[in-house]
Amino acid sequence: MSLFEVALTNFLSSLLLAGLYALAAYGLTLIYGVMKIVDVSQGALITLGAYLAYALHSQFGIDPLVSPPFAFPMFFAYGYFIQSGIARRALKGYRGGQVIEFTLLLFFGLLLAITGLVYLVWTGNIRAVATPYVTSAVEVLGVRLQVSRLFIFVYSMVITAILWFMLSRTDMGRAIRAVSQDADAARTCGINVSRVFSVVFGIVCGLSATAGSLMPAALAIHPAMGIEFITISIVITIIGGMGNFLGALIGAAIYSGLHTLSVLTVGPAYAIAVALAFMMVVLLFRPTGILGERVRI
Amino acid sequence: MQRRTVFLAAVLVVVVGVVAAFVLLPGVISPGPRREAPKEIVVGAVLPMSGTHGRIGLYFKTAFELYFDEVNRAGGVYVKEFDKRIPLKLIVLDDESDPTKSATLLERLITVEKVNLILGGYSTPLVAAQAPVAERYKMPYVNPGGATSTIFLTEDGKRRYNYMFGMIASIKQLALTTMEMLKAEIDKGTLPKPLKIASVNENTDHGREYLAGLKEAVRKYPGYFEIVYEAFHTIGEKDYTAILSAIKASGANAMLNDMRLPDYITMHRQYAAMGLCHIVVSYGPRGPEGTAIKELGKAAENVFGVQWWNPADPRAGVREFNAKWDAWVKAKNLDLPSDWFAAVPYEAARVLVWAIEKAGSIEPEKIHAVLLQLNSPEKGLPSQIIVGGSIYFDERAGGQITNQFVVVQVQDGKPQIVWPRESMTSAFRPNRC
Repeated sequence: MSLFEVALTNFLSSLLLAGLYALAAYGLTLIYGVMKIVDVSQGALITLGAYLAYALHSQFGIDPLVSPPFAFPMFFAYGYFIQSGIARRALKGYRGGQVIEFTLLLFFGLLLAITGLVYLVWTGNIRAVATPYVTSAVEVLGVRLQVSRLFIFVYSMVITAILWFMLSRTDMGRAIRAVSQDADAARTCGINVSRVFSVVFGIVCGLSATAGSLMPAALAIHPAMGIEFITISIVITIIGGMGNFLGALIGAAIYSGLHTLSVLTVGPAYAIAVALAFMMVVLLFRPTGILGERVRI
Repeated sequence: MQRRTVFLAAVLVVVVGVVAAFVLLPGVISPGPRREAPKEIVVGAVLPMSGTHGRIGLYFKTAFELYFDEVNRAGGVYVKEFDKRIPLKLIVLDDESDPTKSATLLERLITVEKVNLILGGYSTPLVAAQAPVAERYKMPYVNPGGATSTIFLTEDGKRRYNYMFGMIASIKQLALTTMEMLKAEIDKGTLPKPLKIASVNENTDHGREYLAGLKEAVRKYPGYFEIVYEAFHTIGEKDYTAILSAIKASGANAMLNDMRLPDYITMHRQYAAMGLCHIVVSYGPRGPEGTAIKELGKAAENVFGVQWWNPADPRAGVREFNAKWDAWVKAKNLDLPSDWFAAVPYEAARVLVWAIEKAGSIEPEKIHAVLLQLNSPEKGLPSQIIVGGSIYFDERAGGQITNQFVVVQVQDGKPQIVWPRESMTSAFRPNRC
């Protein structure tokens, strides 16, 4: 294997991995952008999405790659009616810094509760979905790329495009951006802020579950997987810029690139340490992330 | 006449004295009336009945219950000091797979529930939490579920816990078994010499011990093996491309890893998609599980895993155990197919009961002394179930068994035992790359 081949293989695979991570991080970043709260329970929704895809496959033979149309509406409804309701009710009476502290605790509790529920229903056993393409690959520039990861990357790009279009070209998108900049000013302009919050929660929960529903195509799943993903998502969000979905994409690319580079140089055991060290550097010199406050949502 | 009377009186006194001594002396020197036999011998165990290891905890409990039921149906355990058979009773507390709870609950079993004896739990971290408690209360602790050698030996190679007796061999022994089998294949000419090994292991004591075992075998069999790539990975890794490309670049012809099931599935999917091939592929204890065979399909072909025990072992004792186990779980309506999680705890319960009978007592110290005597394969308790046929606790390994493992390879989509010879169901099959 030539050095060029190694470099190209790892560049393309880290690009595909970035797609997977970006998809998982969108929920966290969007909700912070609009509501300024850190909803770590999105990790549990990634897990639930993964188990939904697993159940659809084992019960009805539905491929995980076609499970997003089932996962998104189901979890949009959950986010719109339940998660936003929980957040609104719980946040009454809290102001400023208290909101961050309280919501962190609240959503961390929700993350543990949902993860516990998954353990109860599906047990701690490892589950995986066998699809005909599970070990298939396509050749791109002479490099073999896993078909399932390529599909996830395409999904990720399509979702990024839809999100961008929705936020920049639709009335709801403009309302979301207005609320994210100044909720009180948006309210005086006649925007139903409460409805915007519900819609954002719906979109975010739908996105997390969609990300999760694609995971069984590439990874074995287990109840604690959401906790792993939310940890990575936090690092990605901090690197890219809190509350900026383009930042999540950049953060994911940097994270996966750093991961690949450190595996090849200092060894896989230190890959996470390198990414965390980079995050510390970003926090020290650019606390708002690489894209920072310039572009919101 | 008078002399004769005196003589007869003296004889009479001596006879009466001797008779009195025979009658009365035992009463004088005996410690008192015999202790009353307990109605039952209460054995306690702290198991992970919920949480991450919930399913395995259920296996352990079911296995203990099966053996206790067999003993009780035969009238109980014969205890010489009471000269009677006494039934066994099992008390299980759930530690929820949490080491802190595990230690506290074991203490509760001993001090509050006042169990007579205890049996060990599952998973190294939980056993590591329980062992100091057993040691503190001087309770013999037959451990069927914790294997990492660091819980048995101190850094300077001394026995860590005098009261712990390990029923499953160490991870280092797992690696050594793998290498012994591969050496036998090299000697047969089915594998090239030297075998160039790439090894990626989870970044834990488990993974480090596995790699140490491989390295020990490399030193033990010069010229047979060469490690050309080694790395430790983070548990839950999402992408193995970089690692796999490094393995490819290393020129290895064998890949011997130590990984957990989700990592194995994720890595091997990518391995197959990248079109890699090594004549020997193993993921340590992982490989031939039903889940992996189902999810990896043809990619799992010829991958082998090294296990403490396997139900496909053709030995008569194993077949008999399988039949007994299947009937037991069916009667209890449990979905627990025969596995080492069943066989080893069953044998652990048997060792404890055997030790009670041998000691003739339910006093922990006496049972401990009996268990200490099982210190080599020759002096071990014969077993028709355990690999190697003997249950023993090697003093040099800190009281842990050092028997061989079973090597199981996926052949034509089915697990086949390829090592050791007495348990083989098929010959080892190298990959054709």
